[in-house]
Amino acid sequence: MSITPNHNHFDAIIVGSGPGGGITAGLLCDAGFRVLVLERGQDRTYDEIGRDHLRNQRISQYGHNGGPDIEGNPRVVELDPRKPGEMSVVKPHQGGYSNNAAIYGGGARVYGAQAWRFMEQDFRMASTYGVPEGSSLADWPLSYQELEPFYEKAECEIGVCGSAATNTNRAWRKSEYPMPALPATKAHKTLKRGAEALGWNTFPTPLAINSVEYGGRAACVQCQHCVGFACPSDSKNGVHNTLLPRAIATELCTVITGAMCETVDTDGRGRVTGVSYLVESGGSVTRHRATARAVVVSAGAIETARLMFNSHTDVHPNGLGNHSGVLGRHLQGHVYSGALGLFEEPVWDSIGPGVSISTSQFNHGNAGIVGGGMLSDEFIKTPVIFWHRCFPADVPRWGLAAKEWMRHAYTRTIHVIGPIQDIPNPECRVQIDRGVRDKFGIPVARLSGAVHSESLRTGEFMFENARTWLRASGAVRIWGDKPGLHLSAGQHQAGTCRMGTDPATSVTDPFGRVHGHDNLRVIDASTHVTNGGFNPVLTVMALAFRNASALAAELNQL
Amino acid sequence: MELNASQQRTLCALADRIIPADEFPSASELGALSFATDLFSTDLASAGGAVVAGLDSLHGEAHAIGGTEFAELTQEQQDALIQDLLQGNTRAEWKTSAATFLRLMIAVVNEGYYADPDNGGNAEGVSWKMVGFEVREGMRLLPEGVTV
Repeated sequence: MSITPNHNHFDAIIVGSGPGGGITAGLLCDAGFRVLVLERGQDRTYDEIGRDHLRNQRISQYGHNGGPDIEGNPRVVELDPRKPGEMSVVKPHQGGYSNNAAIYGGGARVYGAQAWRFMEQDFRMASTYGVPEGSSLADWPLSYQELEPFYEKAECEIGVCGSAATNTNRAWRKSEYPMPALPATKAHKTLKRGAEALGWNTFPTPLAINSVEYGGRAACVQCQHCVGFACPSDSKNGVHNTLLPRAIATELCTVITGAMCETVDTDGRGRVTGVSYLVESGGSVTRHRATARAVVVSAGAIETARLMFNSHTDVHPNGLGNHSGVLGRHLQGHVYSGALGLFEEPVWDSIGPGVSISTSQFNHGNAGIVGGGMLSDEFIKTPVIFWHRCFPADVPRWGLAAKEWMRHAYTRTIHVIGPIQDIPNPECRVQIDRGVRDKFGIPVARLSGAVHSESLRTGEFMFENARTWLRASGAVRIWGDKPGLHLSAGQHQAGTCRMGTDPATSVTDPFGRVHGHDNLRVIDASTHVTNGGFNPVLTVMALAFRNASALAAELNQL
Repeated sequence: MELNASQQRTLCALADRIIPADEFPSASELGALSFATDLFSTDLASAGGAVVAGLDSLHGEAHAIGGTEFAELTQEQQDALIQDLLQGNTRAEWKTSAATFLRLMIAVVNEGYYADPDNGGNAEGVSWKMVGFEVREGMRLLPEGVTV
């Protein structure tokens, strides 16, 4: 998609077309504003995204299906946290890059679509647990209560299925999900029996997937290629099939794909005037500038921070919003912890997306643990992922024994896993590396740091819970590894433009206004103070509904 | 990556010890040779030279123990040699580590065999049928309480 604007002044410019940017575009156009959306990725069709089992967002051995291109988009990464300062230049499909798809619609184009609300305690982690030494654990500057109506809005406007009634460990909510849960798989039924024996509450995993026809689009066909791929029936919901088409239909929204934002531009007083961006087309690069009343950065926690650093001026020599040195710090995603179990009889019925049952039994209230985590069964694994990641250490990886293991175990294995609440620390951070440039000559992101020891402790705790659940469900063999020391960012990346009321310790205010720049907003997971023990996308969406509504209400005065 | 006839025989024989035939096809029967040569000519072109050298070294190892090429050794000899090389015990000359070469070949052959047929190493999706992963479209269960 490339629509050339016939003017270069807008009410708002949005950098990034993922959930944060897409919702912002939708709400601003609803309110009658003219909007420019810049997306560095392309708008790829279902066929273009394809079903390559070696090059997708779930396993990217040799490339990606969701961008960015593997050439010309490096990052500089501290690959081994035990060797601080030892940096490597990595490509988007390689380990440590922490890629999130760069594509029209953002990561949600190829995600698994788990659509969780955080719990009330997730917004006040420091008050609930204290602040562990070496961590930057803090409360959000807003409560679950303030976000609840926007969670509901996100669930209805994007489209989420689930069964709130069966979850006894959730936050309060005004309404049930707009769609019933997808049907229970065989693995779901197996794990439900185990949980019942343990006295654990379980419920169907909430998903931004149409379980029935919804929003004018069909119900999920339950294929085996959900996470990491695009949806064959357009039943997986993001902004590419909801808010963005709605914005475009108003004729107030200009979207330019393949457009890389180089800087957010400011005048001598620091007021934001617009953006400078580059477009690559047919092998040549053209440079553009657009102006606006307001700029919204929704590029994801790593690229948003990178853009803010790269927008430095004489007035803001360390980057926009970095008056207190907080920009880029507190980078967090999710440590994942879980285990695999082998069952005597097949537990596979090929019903996608695969993830079907969850428990929030251990998200909070665990003696001696700061927070906790959620557990679910895993998405359907492609056979090549099973070969790469699901062998017990003592099963040979070649020869007849390996082949027989694949044949026996593929349909008899359940993987129970989930994200744990990361305990943020300031040393996990995004910076820029002026010595390494992308294909446009723009300094790239530099990632360093490692998760807090409390995150690893929670990881061990959840590893044992996963094993307990599998054992109680009848697994005859259980294996897997506890999480090790690493930088947690990845697709759930968050935290790099922390919001708060005190400009000395935050980058934005509680509505994503960058301190000192009234007309510059951050609307993506960058503002998350903490990232919950759940997939964060519904929280990104809810915050976007809240903060974009606030922007729409004041944009005429900016 | 260009392979001569001897290197191709070595690659096929190695692939077929990594995934041997039983009631389901071996790796080479599903396309391992073309999958691997394509991969080492494109995405893994940077490893192509090391792979050619590794195949020659494997040939040298076979000569050292059996006086013949790798493909002509018995299956037991082939397996024992692979095991030995994975543990770092070599007789012939290796430009890069024998274990590293074998681990790479084990990964690549398995990737071809279990990936989608369009990648070239899983003809007609036979390995998917073998493990039970079958692509099924357009058939669905309805959520509880929902009727059409």
